[in-house]
Amino acid sequence: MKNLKLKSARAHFDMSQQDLADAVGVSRQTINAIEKGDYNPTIKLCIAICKALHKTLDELFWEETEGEERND
Amino acid sequence: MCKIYLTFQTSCAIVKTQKMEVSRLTKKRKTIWGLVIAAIFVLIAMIVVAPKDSSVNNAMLICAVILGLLLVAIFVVGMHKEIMELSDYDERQIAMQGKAYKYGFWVASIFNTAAVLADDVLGKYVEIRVVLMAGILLGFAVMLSYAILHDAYFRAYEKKSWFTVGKLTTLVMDARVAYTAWQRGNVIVDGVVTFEGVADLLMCIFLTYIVVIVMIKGLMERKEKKDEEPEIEIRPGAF
Repeated sequence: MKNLKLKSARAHFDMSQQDLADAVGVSRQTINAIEKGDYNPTIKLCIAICKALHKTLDELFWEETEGEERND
Repeated sequence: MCKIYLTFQTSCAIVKTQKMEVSRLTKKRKTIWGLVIAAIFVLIAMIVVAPKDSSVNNAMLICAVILGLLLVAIFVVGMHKEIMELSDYDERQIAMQGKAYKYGFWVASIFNTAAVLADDVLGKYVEIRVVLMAGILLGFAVMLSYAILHDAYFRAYEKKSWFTVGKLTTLVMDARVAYTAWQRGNVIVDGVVTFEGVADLLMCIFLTYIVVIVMIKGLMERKEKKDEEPEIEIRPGAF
């Protein structure tokens, strides 16, 4: 499943995939694979991405299913 | 007072950063020295265990190399984490390389096992060494193409021109040797394809395949970058 939240957050900071990749220390292709849903990153990389984009893990990586309501 | 406190805090921060740098350097030095020691072990094993002018020289040499490789393997397993930290590849690329090695290994193993089992039939037309070499090259081809297509092989795309020039140079040299073998009639002797005749031809096919894969990957990269550009224009908060 495509990670559109990540793409949107990246766009918010006007960052390219390469910029984000440099910020978290991975290759551009890895960021592309995460956005396309081809690769599930480790929790370590998820946290690094969240810190770079000033978001929480839930905001970027939690997949909300239909009818699911958040408690917060 | 406040000034003293700030100076103290800054000094602490500097010391902490320096300690981290020192720890990283020590780790790097340890890894490099470990690898050097392992390499020296291989050399010593080769020199000491395999005496010259001995009738069992070849067998002993093989044993020495295996012993050396075992030592390196033990070292690599022990220092795996440190080596990975120093690697330029990220977690996805390391995972992809692992998969590439696995697929390459299985392809080569299955192909060569089948070749050995079918030697009675195949042996009439082709030397077993040719089939085994083809199997190994097939394994390498699978491994390299998987790694290249999944962006897990830096040399193929970061130093693309050097990589391609290197491969093309080797390809031309191999093609020259293969052509000479063909001219001398070494390729097929008594209806059997010989190793001396086709070894370079196999290398030519392998290298051509790798160059083609690198070119395909280059085209894919270009298309991917083109596709990425409009994605930046997504409005924030759209999702």
